[in-house]
This record gives sequence, structure tokens and C-alpha cells, in this order.
Amino acid sequence: MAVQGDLSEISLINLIQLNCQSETTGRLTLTDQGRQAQVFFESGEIVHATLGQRSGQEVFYEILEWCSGEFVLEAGIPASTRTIHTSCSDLLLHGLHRLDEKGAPQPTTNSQQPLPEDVGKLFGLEKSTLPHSGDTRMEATMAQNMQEILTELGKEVAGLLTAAVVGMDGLPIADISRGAVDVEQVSAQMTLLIKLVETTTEKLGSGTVQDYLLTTDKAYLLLRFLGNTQYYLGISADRSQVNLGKIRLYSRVYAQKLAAAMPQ
Amino acid sequence: MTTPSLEDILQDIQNQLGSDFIATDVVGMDGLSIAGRAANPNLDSTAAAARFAMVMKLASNVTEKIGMGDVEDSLVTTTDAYILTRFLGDGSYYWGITVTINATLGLVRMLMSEYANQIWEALPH
Repeated sequence: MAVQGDLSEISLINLIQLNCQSETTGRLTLTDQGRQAQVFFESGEIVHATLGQRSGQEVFYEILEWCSGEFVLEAGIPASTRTIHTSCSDLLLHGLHRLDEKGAPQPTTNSQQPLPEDVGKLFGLEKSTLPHSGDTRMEATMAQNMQEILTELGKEVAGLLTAAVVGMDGLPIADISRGAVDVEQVSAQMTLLIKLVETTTEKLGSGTVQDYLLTTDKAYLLLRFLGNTQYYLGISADRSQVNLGKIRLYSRVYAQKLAAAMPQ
Repeated sequence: MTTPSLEDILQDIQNQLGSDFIATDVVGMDGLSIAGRAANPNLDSTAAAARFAMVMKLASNVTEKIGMGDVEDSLVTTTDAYILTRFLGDGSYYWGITVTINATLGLVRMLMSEYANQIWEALPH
């Protein structure tokens, strides 16, 4: 099955995310102003990207900058070779950061425009579950308020290592940390985990996930959804310095504050 | 003194949790349950055992990658239930308990901490 569309209707980032989430195997061909690029997926992983005669991970990052053009998505077409060995989430994470650093325009589209129906159908998704491209700009304005709330949380909880508001794309929109903690890596990894937990409870009919606590020999890691399932508050704290009841209580209180700071 | 059987221990735990108890299973990291009890005898815990084995494996990988130590236990709070899972002994098994959202969480955690060694000793290894 092939689906065609225009990047003015759905952003390239969203399109790639959907392929990853739905574990697609296939070829995404992009054409714009005489140039052609291809991205190959295998069970939701990006395995190969080409732009003209060039291929590989650097080429993929270049393709991510495309804001306009047409696309054709053909399911079931495998890559002839593999030039990319990085996970889909890490590729997108690094790609978006590179775009930020370069000051390149975000490859987004007008979120008010309806998304192509056949794209949603292909991925078996309702339109309402598709990511909205306006989110990036909105997140930037939210981040200031969130940062202040997280700073306040940091003052309240002794032993706190990190606290971050993270989208379900694995990207933190506000964070605080103490010591040498890589918040971006923690956020990306914990998002993978919370997604699996969410899917698991859903499949088992055990209700909607409110929070997820992981206890290790060193730390408590607590993730709590902010009113909806698009963002969560992630906290890690030194187990030797913090009381579990207290951290759960504070996570509840501050999750409410953070949820209130989000645009409705 | 003889070691109580796995079934006896799980029965004891069910008794202590009373009406809040939903299910408990001792599961190998291959996702197969080797012993379990459920308040509803028709409940099939096979899928839950397998799925939570995946969660525990991913949790271990993630905490290792981010340098947060070795996973001891996890707690999922949903609108309906608390789902607690805990590694046993050398980590080749995990033990899970599901209780209603009305259960006293501290009590369930305390029971798991109290019985974890007994369950590990009752396991064939």
C-alpha cells in the first residue's frame, strides 16, 4: 500500500515518528524542487537514508530540515543496505537538537490543517492521536513557567537528582539537575519505559497509568503524568536522602502545578 | 524446620491482603509464571506475567544505561490498581502482586519486602 501527501499537510518529523511508533517496514520517498530523498524503515527503526548519491546518518539529519515537498510512503519495501544503526528515538532527538543549534526553521506544519486521512488510516491511528506540529513553539513558551516550578520542587526535596517535564517524544521541555546527570538521556530512556508500562496496563485492562515508580539500589525514579498522557513529570532522587512517601506526595502536588501551567 | 511451599506462602499473602488482593505471581524472566494465585479463579495471569517480564527487563536496561543502579522493584499506579513487581534473589525471577487502589500501599510494600527471601528460598534453584 502506498500513501502520498504533502509536507505542508503533515510535518516530516511527525511522519517519521508515526513510522517508528507503528513499527513500519517500508520506504519513504521525498521530492522537493528537483531533489529526491529516501528513508527506509525496518520494524520501526530507521535503517537507511539517501539524498542524491549520498547515504547514511548525516544525510538523514539533512533530510530532517526539509519543510516542504511531497512524500510517498510505500509499505513493505526493505532497504537494500543498512547505513544507520542508531535507534529511531535517538536519531530524532539528535536531529531536533541539531536543528535547534543551527537555528534552522522547525520542520513543522500548520496544526490547524487537517491531516491526510489516508496517513492516519495507514498507521491505524485516529487523527486526534497524531502529534501536532505546533507543539514545538508552544513548548518553548511553556518551559519558562515549568522551569520555575521545577526549581521550587528542587528546593523542597532534599536528595533530588533530576526533575524534568518530558513529552512522550522523549524530549524534556524543562528540567533541573544536580550533579553530572544527562537529563536528555534519562528522559529518552524513561519515556521508552513509561510507554511500555502504558501499553502493558492497557492490554491487561488494568486501568489508566497515573504514575510509575522504579526503586533501584541507589535511587527512586518516579514518573507521573500531567493530567493527560502527552507529558509527564520525571523525578530521580538519591534513595539514601529522600523519603518515598514524601517524594510521592511532592510529585502529586507539583504535577498538578505543572499541569495547570500548561495551555488547555 | 521445613521451608513452606511457594503455594503456602502465596496463600498466606493473599490472606493478609484480604479483599484488596487481586492476584500474585512468581515469574521467571522468560515470562512464564511458575506459581500464582488470584482472587478471581477465572483470571488468566499468563499475559500479565509475560508482559511485566518485558517491563522488568527494560527497566533494568534503562537504569543501567543511565547509571541509576540495579532495579529492586517497581510500582505502577493506575486508576484501578497498584501493580508491584520485585526481583527475587539473583534476578532470574520476579514476583508481582496486584491489589486494588484501596489497598494500603505501605503494607503491600512491607509484605513484599518481608516475604521476598522466603519465596526465593522456596524456589528451585
